[in-house]
Amino acid sequence: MATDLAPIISVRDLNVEFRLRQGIVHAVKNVSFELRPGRTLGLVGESGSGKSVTARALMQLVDPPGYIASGAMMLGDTDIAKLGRRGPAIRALRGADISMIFQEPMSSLSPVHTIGSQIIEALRLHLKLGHADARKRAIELLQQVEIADAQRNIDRYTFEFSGGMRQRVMIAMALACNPRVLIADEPTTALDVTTQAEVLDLIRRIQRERGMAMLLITHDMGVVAEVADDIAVMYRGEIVEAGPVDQVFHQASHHYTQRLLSSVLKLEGTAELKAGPVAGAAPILSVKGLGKTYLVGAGAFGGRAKSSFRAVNDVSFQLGAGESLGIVGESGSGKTTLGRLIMRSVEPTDGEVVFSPDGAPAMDVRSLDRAGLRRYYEQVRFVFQDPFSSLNPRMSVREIVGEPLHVSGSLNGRALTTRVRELLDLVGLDPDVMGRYPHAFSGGQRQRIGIARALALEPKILIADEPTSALDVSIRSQILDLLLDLQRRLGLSYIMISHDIGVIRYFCDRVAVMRQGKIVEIGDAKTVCTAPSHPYTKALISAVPYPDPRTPRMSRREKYFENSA
Amino acid sequence: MEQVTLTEATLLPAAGMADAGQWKLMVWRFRRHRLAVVSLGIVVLLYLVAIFAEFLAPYGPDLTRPQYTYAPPQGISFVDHAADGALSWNPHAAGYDITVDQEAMRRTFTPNPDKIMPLGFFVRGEPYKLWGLFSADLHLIGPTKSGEVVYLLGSDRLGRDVLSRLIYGTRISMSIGLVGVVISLALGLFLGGISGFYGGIIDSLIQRLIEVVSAMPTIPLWMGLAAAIPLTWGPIEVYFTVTAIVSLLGWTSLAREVRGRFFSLRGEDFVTAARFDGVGEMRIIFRHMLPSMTSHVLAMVTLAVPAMIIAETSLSFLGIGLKPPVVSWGVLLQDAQNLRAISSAPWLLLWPALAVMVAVLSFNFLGDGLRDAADPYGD
Repeated sequence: MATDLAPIISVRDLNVEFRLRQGIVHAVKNVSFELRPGRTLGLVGESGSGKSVTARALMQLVDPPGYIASGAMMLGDTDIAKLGRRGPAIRALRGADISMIFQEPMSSLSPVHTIGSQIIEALRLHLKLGHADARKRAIELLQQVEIADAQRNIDRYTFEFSGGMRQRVMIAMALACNPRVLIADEPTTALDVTTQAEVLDLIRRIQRERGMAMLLITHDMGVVAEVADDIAVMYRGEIVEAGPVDQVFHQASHHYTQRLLSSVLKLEGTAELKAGPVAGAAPILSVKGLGKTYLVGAGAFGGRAKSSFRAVNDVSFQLGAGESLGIVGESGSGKTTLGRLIMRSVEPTDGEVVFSPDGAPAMDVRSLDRAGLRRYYEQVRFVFQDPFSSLNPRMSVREIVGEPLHVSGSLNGRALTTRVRELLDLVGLDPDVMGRYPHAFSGGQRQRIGIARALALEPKILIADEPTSALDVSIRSQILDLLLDLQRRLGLSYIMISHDIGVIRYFCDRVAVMRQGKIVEIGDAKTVCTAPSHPYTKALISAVPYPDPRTPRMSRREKYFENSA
Repeated sequence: MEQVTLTEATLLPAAGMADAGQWKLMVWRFRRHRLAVVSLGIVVLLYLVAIFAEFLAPYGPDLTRPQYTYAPPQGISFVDHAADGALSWNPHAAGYDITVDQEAMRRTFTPNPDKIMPLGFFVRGEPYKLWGLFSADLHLIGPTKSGEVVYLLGSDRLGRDVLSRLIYGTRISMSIGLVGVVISLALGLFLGGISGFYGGIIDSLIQRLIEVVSAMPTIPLWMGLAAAIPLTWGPIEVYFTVTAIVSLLGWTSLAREVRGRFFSLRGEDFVTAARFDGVGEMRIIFRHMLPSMTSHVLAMVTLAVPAMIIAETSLSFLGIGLKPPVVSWGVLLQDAQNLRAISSAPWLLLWPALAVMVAVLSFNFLGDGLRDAADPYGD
């Protein structure tokens, strides 16, 4: 243990408050921790727990109406809490002693300057280097963060880089002045799992090499388990539990930590509620050779397209009645487009989709006219990813859930209200809240409203596009359990689109792995998740951080290269 | 459910907000914008003045009195100083002596502290027909002795009361803005709406039309169109033609904003969700998309009214908009065009200009407040 090393930063009884119209909100309450050289403190918590505010307070970056109410943040002999938000003292400290990596690499880098000029600026300001020296140093930094061909890439702009490369540039910038403390605020949340694994590897390696102290803020218990040495668990502005990573994971004492860990570990297994598909059931939806080609560069005056892009390429699968099929893939794999193609909100360019419900004539979805499509939409429903934008803020819950019933003309007046009550009850919401508007509900509750709307017309199939990715982990499993429970009670079939292997493993019977518009592997969910056969699937699954510090998985992950396929 | 309430309770808005619809939320947000609330009061006041012009004005707008040309504003005080120093309630205007300079044919008004004109509220005066319907002769304020004449804001070169003319001018100036905005709004909503909802070739055509219209130099165009109005037309016809001319050019920015809103709403998840609910096109537009825009449209309209007021004023000032005997702020300013008038009677310039500024500023602040309140779900 390296606890004998003197802490670089020690935070004592930090309080951050926000003065709002409704009163004072205590975002951070009596938080104390220490950052020691060479060690990583993982600050974990769910959204709104105050973890990001704490990190920002360390650099005096809390924006009004927020302010540091009391407490000390000692960096050597300097108390950062006393420096104020502006002035040369705090500016000299930012970047030089403490630097920060943000979540969104795109919005924290300037798009109008080359990456080189942004790093060089920091070097010249803080280290007072000349231009040539600064440039040389910037190239070294880019090499350290494993950016290939740094000599040439230094003069490129951020939009020429992928998300992972941008995050590497951010790291290079953060390291520019040899800071003693690195704060990483959700550094990999916006990245795909395989990229996440590489970036985390890099951060950890550099931190060890330089003996920096690191504060890693994340909601992902897997990431903490893989990277952190110590953990502090935040809940409603307070640190409820802190200690070495192994101790917190295996001997958690606070009930919130225990509950958090159990909901995380729950998603590492398979759902108990899972009904399993009815043996020998006929397929209810079959997709054959489905594809979508986008023409790129077609001008406003109908000029010929310069090139074309296959978002979805020759996808075929069958969904059995009562089955849950997962579609998993990284960003840009075409999984969301596939869902939209099945719903025909994006028109397919080739292939066919046949919906054959039990006891009714099969529908060729691509040839449906407007009335036919309306009948199809009654039976095949969609659950959206974003619980905030998918509910019209100007309609009450009763109107939102009742809209499909109203439009289909099946119910109105009191009968409709009764049905809405039933539906809200079905998804675990208090029916008396239906006069309220969406802004009165939390993310998880909104997602339940979205599900109630989808169930209104007694559908056969639900297509769920990342229904849990905007939710905190403890709510995530609740929504999945709700969907599984509904499946058992209503005999639904699901297509679950997700980037999250945990969700797929927990929820699905079968899974299709998509990459660059194609299905690379399809099969039984358990088999694909534990013993994948395609090298891409292997790389994908081995890159998922595992929430147990005793069995790190990421460091032993397999890598996938284009030519290894 | 227990976990949901535990972890997410902090994010929930206050209990009273839960049942509040968009209008209630908008009102709450609007109230926080102090300047806008004050401006709303002023705008309402201006419209009340416009509605009850006959009652509020001491005299008719066209009542001329040759013996009182260029009479200066008379100060008002509400209490009387008696000889023994005691104060008594007696609203009155300061009086003056009139001397006529026979050579220059000019009247000079010298204040005379001994002379006062007692004023009263709700006094009987010149008969009028309220809104052209009801005969009445009650005025809010006026001299109690019949036969006395008071000019609270001065008089013009024909001895007409500037206050009365200003009040009647409010009616025309404030309403021409509204009529103009209604026409612009209809055009803007319709063309912007179909442009934004359908997109494609229709959108391209309408956008090119907007570009052509906004590329036209406005003042020469106004002058050209106004010159085309036959001289034989009465003031009312001219009034409507001017309105139409102003609004035919004013719809473009509204149309662009409406189109932008439609474009961004079309991509919203809740619109896709409505489509998946089987909702038809018309219901999507009117039930799902338009409510998200009404508040924005309201703000746009409020910001468009001052532009119309300015346009009317400048047109009339240049002599190509409204013409006497119609009374508007612009027409009043016409009287202040020559230097002599300004040097000997600055109130002719001061009051109408002040009225225009107050009205335009109030509408702008009100519009700003509405725009900030327009999207209660913005942050």
